Amino acid sequence: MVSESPSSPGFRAGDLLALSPAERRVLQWLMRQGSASAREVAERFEMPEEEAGIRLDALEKQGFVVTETAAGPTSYRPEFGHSRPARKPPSGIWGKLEGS
Amino acid sequence: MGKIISVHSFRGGTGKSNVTANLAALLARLGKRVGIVDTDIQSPGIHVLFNLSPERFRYALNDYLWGKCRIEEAAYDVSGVLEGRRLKDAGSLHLIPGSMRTGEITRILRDGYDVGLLNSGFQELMERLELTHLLIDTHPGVNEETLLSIAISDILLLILRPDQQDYQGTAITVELARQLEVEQTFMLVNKAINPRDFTALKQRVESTYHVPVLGVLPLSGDVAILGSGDIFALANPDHPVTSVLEAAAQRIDAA
Repeated sequence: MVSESPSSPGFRAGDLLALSPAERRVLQWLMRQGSASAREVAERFEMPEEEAGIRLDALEKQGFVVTETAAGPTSYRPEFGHSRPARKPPSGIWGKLEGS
Repeated sequence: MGKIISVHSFRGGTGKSNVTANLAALLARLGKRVGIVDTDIQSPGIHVLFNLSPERFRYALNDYLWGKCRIEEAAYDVSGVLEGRRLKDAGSLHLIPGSMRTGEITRILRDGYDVGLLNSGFQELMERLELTHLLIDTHPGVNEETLLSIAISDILLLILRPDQQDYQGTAITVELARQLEVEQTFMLVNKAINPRDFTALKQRVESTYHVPVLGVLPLSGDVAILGSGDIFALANPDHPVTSVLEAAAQRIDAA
């Protein structure tokens, strides 16, 4: 499931509910960890590293995680989308509130 | 690693912020290092219970979300509320308030914010302030911040009144918590009317939602009279309301 707004990369909190339980668990864990390698994901969820890599790749393809390879093994970091601004109100309202 | 506790209610007016402030203070009274984040950006208010006036905070959560400060710079040590209250070995309390400036609230509504920054702010706060518990005071209903906080929480505490609208709405939040596999969900019923019915009420709610109820708080005139001017449980240590809150804090601590 890909986020509906291609102009805003990353996932929104609501996207979590559309993921498979297996992918969602990995993503939720990454949200708490900040980032992790496929090996660390495999250890946390007690699965083969290859399987962890498949889940992480699936999340990457959906734009929900990004990889970092600066030092050591590839690590995966959750890619959050920007929160959605409120609907556009009648013209002039924001301008009037700006000075508050 | 400390625990993240989201305190949520589906509808407004349940006493969520009041309960959050009291539980945070009671956890600190148990010797814990407790953080509170007011993610109710649209209608912040928990700072009032800690006697932290908006003039006294240079930075708020909004400033952190706009990259103006580090998260710990928006954290205020409000442990002063614990002082002079017959407490030994009390822990500490740290509050990240929401901005009370109209322009800053509307800017969040207009521009949104970096949700990843909010998430990393929670984690950094836990680490840098060495917190044992981080309580997130959420905006009522289901929205981006609520879902995010539920998704990263170890514990979700749902506050509801014995009211049909609250019952229906709470069912939605319970369902979301199940889908997101929150480790532990609790409920606290607030503003209940008939004390003779409290035990039966607790049993009804537990059997309906299959979620443990930490306690039933009465609709209290004493709480209303205090009017968010203080932390009720600290100001009234021997009050029956305080006993329920203390038991809830102990259960959360043990979870």
